[in-house]
Amino acid sequence: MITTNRKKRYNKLIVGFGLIIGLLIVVTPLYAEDFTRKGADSCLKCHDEESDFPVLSIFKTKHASQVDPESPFASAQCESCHGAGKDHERSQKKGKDDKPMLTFGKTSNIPASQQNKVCLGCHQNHGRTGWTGSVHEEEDVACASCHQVHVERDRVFNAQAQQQVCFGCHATTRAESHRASAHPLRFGQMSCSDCHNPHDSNNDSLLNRSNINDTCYTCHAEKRGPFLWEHAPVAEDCTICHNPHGSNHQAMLKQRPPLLCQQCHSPSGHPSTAYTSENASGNFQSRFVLGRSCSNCHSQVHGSNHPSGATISR
Amino acid sequence: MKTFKNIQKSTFNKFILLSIVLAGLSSIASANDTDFSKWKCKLCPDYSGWTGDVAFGLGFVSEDDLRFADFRGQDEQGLYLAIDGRAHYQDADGYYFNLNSHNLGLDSRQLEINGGHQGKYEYRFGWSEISKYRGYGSQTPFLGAGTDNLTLPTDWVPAVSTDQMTQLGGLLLNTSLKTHRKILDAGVTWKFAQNWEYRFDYQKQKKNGTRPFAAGLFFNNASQFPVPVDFTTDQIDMVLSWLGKRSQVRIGLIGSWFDNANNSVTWQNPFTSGANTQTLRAALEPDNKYYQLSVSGAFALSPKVKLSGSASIGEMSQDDQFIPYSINPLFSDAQLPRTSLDAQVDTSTFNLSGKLSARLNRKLTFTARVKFDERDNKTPVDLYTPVTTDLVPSAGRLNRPYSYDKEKYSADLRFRAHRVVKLSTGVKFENLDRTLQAVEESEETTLWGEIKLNPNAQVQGRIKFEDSKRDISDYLQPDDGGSVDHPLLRKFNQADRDRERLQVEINIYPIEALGINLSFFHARDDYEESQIGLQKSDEESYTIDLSYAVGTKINLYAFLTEDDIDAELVNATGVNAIPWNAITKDSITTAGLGLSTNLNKKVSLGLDFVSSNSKGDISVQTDQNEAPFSPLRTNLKNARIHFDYQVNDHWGYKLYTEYEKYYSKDWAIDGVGVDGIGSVLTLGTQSPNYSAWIFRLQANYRF
Repeated sequence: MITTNRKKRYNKLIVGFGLIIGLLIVVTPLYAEDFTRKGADSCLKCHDEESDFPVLSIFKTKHASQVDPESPFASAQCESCHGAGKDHERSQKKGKDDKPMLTFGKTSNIPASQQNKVCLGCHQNHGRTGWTGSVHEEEDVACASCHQVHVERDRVFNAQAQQQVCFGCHATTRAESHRASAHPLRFGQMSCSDCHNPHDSNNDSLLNRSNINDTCYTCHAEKRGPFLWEHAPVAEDCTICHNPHGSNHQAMLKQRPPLLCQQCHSPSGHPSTAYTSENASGNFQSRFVLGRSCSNCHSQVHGSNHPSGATISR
Repeated sequence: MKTFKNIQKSTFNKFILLSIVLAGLSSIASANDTDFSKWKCKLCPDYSGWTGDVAFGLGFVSEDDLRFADFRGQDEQGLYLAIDGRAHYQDADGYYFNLNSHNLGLDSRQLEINGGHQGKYEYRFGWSEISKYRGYGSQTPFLGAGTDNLTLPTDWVPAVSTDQMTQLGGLLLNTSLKTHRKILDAGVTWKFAQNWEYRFDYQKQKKNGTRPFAAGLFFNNASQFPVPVDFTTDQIDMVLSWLGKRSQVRIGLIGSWFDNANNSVTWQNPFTSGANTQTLRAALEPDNKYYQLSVSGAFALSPKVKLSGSASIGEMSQDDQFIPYSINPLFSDAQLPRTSLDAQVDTSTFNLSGKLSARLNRKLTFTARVKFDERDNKTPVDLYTPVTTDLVPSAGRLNRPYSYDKEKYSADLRFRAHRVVKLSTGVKFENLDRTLQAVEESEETTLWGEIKLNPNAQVQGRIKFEDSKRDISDYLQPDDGGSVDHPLLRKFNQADRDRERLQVEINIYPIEALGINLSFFHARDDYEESQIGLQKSDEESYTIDLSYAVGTKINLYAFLTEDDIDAELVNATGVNAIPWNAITKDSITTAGLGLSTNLNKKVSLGLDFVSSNSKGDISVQTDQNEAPFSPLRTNLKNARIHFDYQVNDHWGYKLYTEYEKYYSKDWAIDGVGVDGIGSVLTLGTQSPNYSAWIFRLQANYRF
């Protein structure tokens, strides 16, 4: 009897447990699911071109592809990036606004690191191997501070618009780009990313190439040499003499000759002579000051391959 | 049997219950594992097919001013074809195509195409042209501009100084000193297997035209003239990548081949000279090659600790045939130590940054970086006996192939002390070893600290201070056969240096639509150990930035940046001479404001204005209390307006107008003219001054 009663109790326990589980089967889809019921169809009921932040242009972009398994719309659609939206949907239906979705950009309340975690979930492995520990990461720059996702063409991929994005933070560089001698950023003929990789950090100044000179040689290969008669600072670092972002002196030089040259050269004679304002005109005008100054003769400042070019004048 | 039935019933019940339990558990599991394929995306718009805009019309340029045309590519007054366009294709299968073009009717134009099958492959094509103008109002008596042989008119009479070149005025020709760069890009990316990707890019750059050059005949005289530019550079860049979630590895190869169609330029000496120096010759840039093989990668040791780095080895080489020591017949047969340089520089760069990056806990992160950058110049060293400026044979001189070895180590610690306060500090060590230069070793240590305050979304602040000290080994002037500098000279890139940098930024968003950004930057370099050479340089920059956005309809912005760059230099003509000093002060003010608005679905308007004014003061003082140079000035004002009106779904109009006024003043060239310096025949280049405008009207067809 005792054994039978135990079995009955045992069976009752199992049946009871089964009922609870059965109940859960019915109830859990209603409460355990975080995502909206219909994905983008739930979101687009409210978020359209008439809303404060028009969103539909995302369907003109790669993010909306449903055939690329890496695309957000191949899985949780809007919620791939903005997080599961069940609570948000429910609170909006109740006329409340207390369950915001994950938002992006400079003015978002979500910390940049959390925003970027979403983007890097897919993009970490595409040219952003050096993102971690990079200057932009350490300065809490959010991906969406620069990138636009809900537009047909992200402005950073537009050579005419990209620099305005960078100048939003790099104000001094914007000013430099308008100086008398500058690379053609303001004309849209060059963009910041021609020299810099904003996602990487392995190279100095986030440069695309291993060092400054290698970056410059990409467009100025004629300066590479190696020359028979090298000019030592040229071979070492172009920025010793040039400011690549712009200068009010010709050829983006940091200083005008002859003073630029006299910072490093002082043999007795004409290289170390003081050329004052009296040498700029009148009876004492000097070829060492006027015209191209030192370069009136020493024009091969980047190096010479002439067997007689030791003084970089051939 | 009863017992057996009970057992059967009991087993059956357990089986049913177990099935229910398993079904329940699996249902719970699948409740969070949503089947996204059931999401229909019925409200998602279908943009499959072609879309785009083609804008075509006419533009008008008011002036044929070379400086205004610089980079714009509009060097002739009058009408031009104004053609722009973009096209986009996508379909449900993932195929896509994009075309973007800009200013196709101008000398400076861009076309860019990419397409492919998303997630599988992409192809790219680009074509761009950029015009660059050097020299403003340049004139020359030389014939053959653009070739490697510049001659003077047959009736040219040489003279000892330019003021005695009596025919000069009548023989001058305008020369534009223009280079035109054409760039072809082509590339493909192929994702050929899970996590594997191959990218190949090819670029050809051709740069043609003329640029200014100058050379002289010893200390007697010099001439400025245009030399030919006929450069071709082919580059390839290919990368094989393995891209996993936790780790990524890339192997890359870069190749670059530079070809100059002219290895030298000869010119007729316009000055009175001896029989053997009537024609002079200079070398132009030699052909060169470059290869670089690199490996880079990143590995997440754990979710909080990541390691990334790269290593590369490269080789630059150049083996162009030497020209003789001199075109002067007296020396043209002199024996060279070799017929070509056979130059080779091995480069190697090893970067390791992050790159131990470790999040020690929720509040503390640590980053360490190491970088090695080596330039090992293996160019053979020989004794050359140069003929200075085709006239004076000099003592034998060894060529100096410079090498360096840089090492950089740094470590940063970032601590979120409070919800609104982030403290950071770091240290950097830089060691630089050079060969054949005055200083063999230099070491620089930098300490920095930063405080970031973020009390709320409306206010953010940051202050960063950096202090560096560079120490050098003994300063020993190299005995390279060249001129001997003042013994107290310290070249500033090889001198002891104290450096300070301060950055302050405040960002305020009083309302969501309004942003106010204030920033200040100060840098100071002191070379206190240098008695001769650069003494100090200071740079200060102040910026105020305002932006105001009304939804997505209206954007307003304004900015003002004030830059001040000062430097002080001391030099002397000899050990016993009284040193002289030079103080330079460059002040640049840049200001801008603008508006962009979409008034409604049909009308959009944009206004932009920017102004950049610079003043350069130079004072060179000996013991005679000389007056300063008259200030150097540049003054740019540029205003642009664009107005787009969409008539219907397909047709619209685009109106663009731009006005630019530029004023500059430079005592080194203004008023000097071609013959203003007795011993230098110049190109007569003047400071640019112009005001010009562009008007463009285009019809736009949207599809």
